Amino acid sequence: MPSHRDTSPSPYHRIGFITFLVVLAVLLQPFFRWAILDASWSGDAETCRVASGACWVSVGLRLDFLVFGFYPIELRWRPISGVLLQTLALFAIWAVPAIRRRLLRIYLMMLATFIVSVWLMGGDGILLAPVSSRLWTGFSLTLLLAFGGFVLALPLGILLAFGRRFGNSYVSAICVAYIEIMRALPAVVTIFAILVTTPYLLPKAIGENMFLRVLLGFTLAMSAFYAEVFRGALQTFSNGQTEAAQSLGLKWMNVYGRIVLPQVVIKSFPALMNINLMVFKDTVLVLTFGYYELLGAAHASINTQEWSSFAIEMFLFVYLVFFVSGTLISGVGRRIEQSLVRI
Amino acid sequence: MKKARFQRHQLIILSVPLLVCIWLGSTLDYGFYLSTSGLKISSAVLPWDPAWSFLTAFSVAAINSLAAGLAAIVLSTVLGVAIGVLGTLSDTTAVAICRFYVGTFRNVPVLFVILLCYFVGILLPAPAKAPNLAGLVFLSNRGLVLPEMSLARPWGLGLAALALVAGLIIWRLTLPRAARVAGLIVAVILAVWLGIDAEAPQLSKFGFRSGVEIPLEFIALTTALSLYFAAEIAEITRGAILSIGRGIIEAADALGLRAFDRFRKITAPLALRFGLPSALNTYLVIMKATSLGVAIGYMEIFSVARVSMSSSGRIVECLILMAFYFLLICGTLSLVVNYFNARLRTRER
Repeated sequence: MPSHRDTSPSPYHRIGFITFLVVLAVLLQPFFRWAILDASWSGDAETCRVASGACWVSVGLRLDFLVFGFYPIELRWRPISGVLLQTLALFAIWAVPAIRRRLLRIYLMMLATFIVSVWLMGGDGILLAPVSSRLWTGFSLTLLLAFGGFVLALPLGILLAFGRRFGNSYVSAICVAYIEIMRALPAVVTIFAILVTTPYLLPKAIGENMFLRVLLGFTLAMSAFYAEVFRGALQTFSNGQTEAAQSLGLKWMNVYGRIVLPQVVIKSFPALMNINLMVFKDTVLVLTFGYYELLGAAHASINTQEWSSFAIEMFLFVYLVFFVSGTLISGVGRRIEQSLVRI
Repeated sequence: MKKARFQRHQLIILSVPLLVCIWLGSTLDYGFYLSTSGLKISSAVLPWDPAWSFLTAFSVAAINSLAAGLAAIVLSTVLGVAIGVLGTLSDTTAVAICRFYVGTFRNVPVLFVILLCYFVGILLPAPAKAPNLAGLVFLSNRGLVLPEMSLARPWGLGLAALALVAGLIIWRLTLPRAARVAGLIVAVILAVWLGIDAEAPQLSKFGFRSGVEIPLEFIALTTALSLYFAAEIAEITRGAILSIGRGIIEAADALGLRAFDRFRKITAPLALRFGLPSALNTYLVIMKATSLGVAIGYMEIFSVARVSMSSSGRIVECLILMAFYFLLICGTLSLVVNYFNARLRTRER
C-alpha cells in the first residue's frame, strides 16, 4: 500500500519503531559479544579454541593467501602494484572530471589498466619473469577478472546489440541466436564449456593458459547481458537521427560511434552499472573450476582441518570485502552518471 | 528477381546451422547415452542405481535441479512479496526492514550465500543432538529429516472424511464470516491429523533409521537461493506497487474501501500485472542458478554432466545434453511469459 497520504507518524508507528529497535538490540547483543568482546585478535588456532568468541586470527593469518594466493612470495610486489594500479584507476575516474565526463576516456583508462595489470601478473619473459596463470589467485585475480570482463565483454555486447538492431537479416539472426543461447545457459556452464573445449580448438598459447580460457568464457557469457542492456535503449531509438546524420554525409562509423552510441550508453547507464556489478560478483564462479579467486581462496583455507570450525569469521570477512567493493563500484557509477547528466 | 534472391538468402541462412547440426549429430556417439554409467549420485528426489544409463542419470539430475529450483521459486516469492509489501507501507520501520534486507544481499554473489548456508549447515550438531520440532522434524548436519507419512487405516480415513463433511456444513451455515473460516480451518486440520499417519524418525547410532531424509546440500541450496532471490522479488514487488497510479488508489479510498480490501482488490491485481514479467525473468535466473549446487556437491545437472564427462571422456555429448536441458527450461519459461503478457494485457473497452 503506497504511502499516498502524508501523515505524521502516529503513536503506533513510534511504538513499532521502538519495538523494532529493542528486538534488534536483543538479537544483535550476542553477535556483538561474539564478534568483538569475546573474540580473539591474536595468537593461533589453540587460543581460538579456548576463547568462546570469534576467531579473527584465522582471517589475519590467511590474509596474504586471500589477496595473493599461490603467487610466488618473492614476486609479490607485482600483484600488489596491480591491485594498487586498479584502485588508482577507479579513484582517478571518480576524482578527475576530465576523465569522468568522457565515456571513451573511462573505457580506455580501464583497458590500459587491465593490460598493464595482466602484464604485471603474467610477466613477458624479457622484463619480468613469467608466472604461470595457475598461480594467479586471491583478490588480485578477482579484480583482474572483473576488469577483464568489463573491458572485453562491453565492446562485444555493443557489437551484438548494434548487429541485432541495425544489421541485415543474417547478422541480426546470428546476434539474436547468440544472445538467446547465452542468456539461456548459466554463466558457469558457458565458462565450463569454453574451459574444456579450448585446449582442442585454440593454439597452445591460449589453450593452456588458465586465465585466458576462463576470461574468454567469462567474456562470452557476460557480453550477452551487456547486449540486452543496450537493446531496450536501441529499441526506442528513432531512425530519424541516423538518417539525418547520413544525409549530412557522415560515414557509418561516425553515425554509430558519435550519434547513436553515446545516447544509448547514457540512456541505459543505470542498467549498465547493474551489469558491471554483476560482472564483479560473477567472478566468483571460477572457483567451481578450482581456480581460486577471493571466495575460492577463503573456501580453500577453511577446508583445512585446523580452521574448519572458524568458517563464519572467514565468510564475514569476504562479505565485508564484497560489500565495500560493490558499494564503491556503485558509488563510482553514480558519480559518472551525475556528470553525464550535466552535459 | 528480388523475391528469388530473398528466398535464396533464406535458404543459405537456414542451411548453415542445419549443416552444422547434421555434422555435429553425425559425430556424436549415441550409444554413449544408453550405456551403463556407473556414477554415484546421492540423489535427492528420485532413487538411483549406478547400473542405469547416462541418459537416466541426466534425467535424475534434471529432476534434482528442477526440485531445488521450484522450491526456491516458491519460497523466494512468498518471502520476497512479504518484504516488498513492507517496503511500500507508510511506516519507517517497515521501510527500514525492507531496505536492510535488500541491501544485505545486493552486493554479494549468490555463490557466496550458497557456500555460507552450506557451512552453517555443516556446523549444525550431529543427528544425535539435532534440534528438533516435537520429535518429528530434525535439522542436523546431515540435512532435514521429516516423519514418514502414510495414509491411515480405513476407520481413520472415515473419521477424516466425517471431519471434512462437518467443516463443509459449518461453511454453509449462516454464521459470521470469521466463525465459518475458523470452523473450516479446524476441520481441515482435524482431517489431516486423522487421515495421515506420521511415523517419527528413529535415531540409530550413526544417523536416522527411518524418516524421510532431505540431504543437507538440497536444504542449503534451496535456502540460499530463496533468501538471495527474495531480495530481487522484493524489489520487483515494491517497484510494481509504487508504479500504480496515485489516482487509482485515491479512487479506491474515495469509494470507502478499507486498507486490506484496497490491497486485495486494487493494488495486488495491478501490481501483479506490472511485476509479473520481471518476476518470471527472476525465476529463469533462479533455475539457472541451481547449477551452482556443483560448488557444494549437490547432484544437479551441471555436476552430473561434469562427473560423467570425466568418467567417460565424452565432452561434446554431455555438453549438448546439458545445454538442451537449459534451453528447454528457458524456452518453457518464455512461453509462459508470452502467455501471461497476452493474458494480462489491459483490455480496453
